[in-house]
Amino acid sequence: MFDWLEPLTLFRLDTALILTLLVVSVHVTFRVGIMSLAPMGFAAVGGYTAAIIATKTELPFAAGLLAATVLAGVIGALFAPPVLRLRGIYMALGSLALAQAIVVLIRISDFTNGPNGIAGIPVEVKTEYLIVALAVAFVVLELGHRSHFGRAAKAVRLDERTAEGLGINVFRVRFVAFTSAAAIAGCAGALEAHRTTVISPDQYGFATLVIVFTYVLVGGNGHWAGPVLLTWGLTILRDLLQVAGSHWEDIIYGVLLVVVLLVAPNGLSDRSLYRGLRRRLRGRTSPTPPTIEEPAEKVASR
Amino acid sequence: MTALLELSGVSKHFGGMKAVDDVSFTVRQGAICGLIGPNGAGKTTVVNLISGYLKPTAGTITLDGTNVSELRPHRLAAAGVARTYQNLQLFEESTVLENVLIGRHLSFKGRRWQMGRTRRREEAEQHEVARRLIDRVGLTDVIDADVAELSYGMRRRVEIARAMATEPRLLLLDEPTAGMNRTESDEIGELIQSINAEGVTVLLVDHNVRLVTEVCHRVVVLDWGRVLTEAGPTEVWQDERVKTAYLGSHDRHAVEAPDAGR
Repeated sequence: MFDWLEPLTLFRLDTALILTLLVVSVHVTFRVGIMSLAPMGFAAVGGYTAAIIATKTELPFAAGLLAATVLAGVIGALFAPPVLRLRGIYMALGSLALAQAIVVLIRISDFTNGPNGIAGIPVEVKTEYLIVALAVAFVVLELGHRSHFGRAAKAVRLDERTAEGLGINVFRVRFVAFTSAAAIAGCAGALEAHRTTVISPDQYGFATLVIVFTYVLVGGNGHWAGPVLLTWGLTILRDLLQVAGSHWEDIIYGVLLVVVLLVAPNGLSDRSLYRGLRRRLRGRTSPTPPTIEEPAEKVASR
Repeated sequence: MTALLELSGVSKHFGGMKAVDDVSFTVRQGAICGLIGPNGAGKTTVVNLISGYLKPTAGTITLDGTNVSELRPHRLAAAGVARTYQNLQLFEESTVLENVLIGRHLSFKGRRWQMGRTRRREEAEQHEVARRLIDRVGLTDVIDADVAELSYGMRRRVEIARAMATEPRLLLLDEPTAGMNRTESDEIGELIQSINAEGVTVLLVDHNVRLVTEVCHRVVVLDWGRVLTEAGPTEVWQDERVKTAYLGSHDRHAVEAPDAGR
């Protein structure tokens, strides 16, 4: 289906799509106010599960992918109770420590071939699969966004104590988000392993996480499309400018992050950013914008 | 009439500080009960205890015969306790309608991932309920405005509408007229009475003597974390101990004659 693309372009496209899956994973946690640095740990779980199943058993690729997703989700569910007890910077550090513990375990264990990693993973990933996986993720995200569960998630992010007082089970909302984010990251890790054919513990470090966090923060947590479109836009921009891998890439990202955080501290998909614009548009369509005054007589007449 | 809310021997100590100490009182089903006292008397702590934000150090809180002392806030909300906050806690970047809809969370019957027509019908029903509540507090004109754009008095009313959206049996109002002028607080008084007329029991914490005297059926006075007295809304001001408690504190304006208002 995508054979007409040059191999290099195809490789970049696949990279961007898998990165998008990681962006979605981090976005899901940010959406409910969880500052988790654990996604690379879950990606490692997914990548190694898929790699071990593919190289040591005869099971098909689909089984490995499913096992990777489920196992990452289960480990996420085990991590959730301790991590979700923490707040702010402590949550970030706690989740990072747990995630790095996974990577360290992989590095010292013979079962995972230690620091050498696993090679010879069959190439199974086609661009079509990635698009299907992302499409499924987008549909689920949009349904969540529109449902009352999405509204509850937003309430939890904005003010968990008030959300609690309105009957929202804050822990459950966060647990569901954290566990699904872990499963998505595991899925992304498995797909990545089946694309690059070689994995090692070192690739699940900070470098990728920083890029993913930049996309998610700059994209904002108003809507999932913010981070996703930003990921695609920046990837295209980077390839057009031909700066990929050079120091210019880091400089551009750094400048972008600073500028956006100054102009829009809540990211680009933040609604209040467009409030002025919305009002101007509204004013144009209706000559008298709705007045905001105290309708005192209304209350008095009741 | 039976007691809806009963506190017996409730204490909350923060280290050596006895914020609430051996407090017992009951709120009858269908009543408007006032909870007053000088600043620092422990009124907000009592509200936080009843709504589950704090766990009592000792004593029990009973709601309609069930011990609810250990319940988390979301369980209490499900049991029918709603509240407003002394320092407004609205979702600032959301619209009035969205704020009230979040209060409807417990009333969504359907499954989380329902889609298509069922979901749309339920959303429409919930929007309708929210709209009625917003109309009731007189904010229909600003229903789609962000809360951050509203005046202080209007935001207080959004909080009341949002609390009512949870369909409570017991409504805890923590200083709903703080910072309001006389006309505004009179409107809040009428609103409280109309909410009560529908059978919602109200616990009203306020410094506004006029409001408390006019709307409350019963008044509990707290001082230094203890119940000073409990009386009818007019008798309570005759009590020497109440006068001393207020005059001895920094909150002198609170004991101006009832008709002085604020």
